[in-house]
Amino acid sequence: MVAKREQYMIRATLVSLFCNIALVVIKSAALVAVNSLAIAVDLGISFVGLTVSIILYYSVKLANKPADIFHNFGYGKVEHVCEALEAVVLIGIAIAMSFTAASHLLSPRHIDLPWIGFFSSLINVTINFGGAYYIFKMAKKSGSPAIRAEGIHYRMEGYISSIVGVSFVLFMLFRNSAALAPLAPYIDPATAILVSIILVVPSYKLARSSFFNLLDASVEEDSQMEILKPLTKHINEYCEFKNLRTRVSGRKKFIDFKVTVPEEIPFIRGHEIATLLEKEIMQAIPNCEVAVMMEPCKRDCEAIKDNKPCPYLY
Amino acid sequence: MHKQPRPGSHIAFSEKTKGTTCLLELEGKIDDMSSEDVEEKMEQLLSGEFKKIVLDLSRVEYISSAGIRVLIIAYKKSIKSEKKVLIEQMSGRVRAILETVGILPLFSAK
Repeated sequence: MVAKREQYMIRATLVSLFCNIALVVIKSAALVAVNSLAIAVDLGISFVGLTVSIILYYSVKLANKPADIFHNFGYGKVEHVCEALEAVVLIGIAIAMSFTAASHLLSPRHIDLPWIGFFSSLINVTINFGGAYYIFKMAKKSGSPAIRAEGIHYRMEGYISSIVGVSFVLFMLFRNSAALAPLAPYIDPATAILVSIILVVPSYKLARSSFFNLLDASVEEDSQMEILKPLTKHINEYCEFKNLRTRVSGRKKFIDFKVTVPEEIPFIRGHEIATLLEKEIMQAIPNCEVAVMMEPCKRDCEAIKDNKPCPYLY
Repeated sequence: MHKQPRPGSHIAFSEKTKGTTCLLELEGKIDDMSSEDVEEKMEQLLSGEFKKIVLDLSRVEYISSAGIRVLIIAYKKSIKSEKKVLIEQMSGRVRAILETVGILPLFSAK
């Protein structure tokens, strides 16, 4: 199962790598031919994408390494580092390009061969949405947040290339209209600003979630509910549960809590209860490790005080 | 005495007493922000003189896992102190969530 998951992740990173190489080549050629700032922003994003794909390839291999003496909880967090890195670099690009675009709005530059820009955008859109579809499929199968982040990146890049493509159509329409021709040179820097703004919002969200996960965020609400189901199902087999703690590390989830059991029961019975809870939680939540610690009751309930039998003994 | 709800908490309590039974009506959301208020309230009632605590959740819009955790803890404390906690009424959404987790039979009078 683990090997299969690793396979899905490696497949996704390889697809991402090859698509990014293709995108960088196409956009570089288009930039030289068209001299467009919007393509430059788009190329910047793909260049970051390519760098992240290479890092992601090695991160996936590292994240799948089993826990060892140096990293007792495994290497899952490297996936969040990868996400955070991608988000921070994309925000940096967006800010830098916004300033350049603002200066170009004040002194617009000439655009050559806009139809090449349009056709290159069309190819980029196809590569991005096709890549995003496949990467999301692999992310679902592997449950990897880093691969999902890569899918988000691809989809976003697809929207950005669509906007760039539309901007070239507008440029050609404006240029051929006597009334709108003076506005045509402003379309390219305006598009670059729009793309930068679009880039910032999901990148900020990605940065936020990855930083939270690096700070040991709890598991999401659905998984919290799944933890409570076995605790409810076997409620009459333990006295209390406490100190429930959960944390996410890459696609792996760690859950631990304590159950109080009657002190009269044999150790083996207590162990059976703890194991049963662990097993059922692990079955319900994929990729999780559960540790249930047991402790004896303090004999402080009303039944014991009144010399009645313990309600949990049978 | 129950303290003021925490900032950001979306829960309000109203209490009615009948002999050794306390009817506690909750209104709002039992989520991460308000679950500690509910836990405190239940703790206060379970350590008091009441033999039975009846919860009315008909005006509770939502209950999160944190809220369910509080209910499980309250159930366990009621067993420990030989008291009873019941849920008499609840909104459709809350019922669906409690049924999904399987907690509802623990709080039924039957």
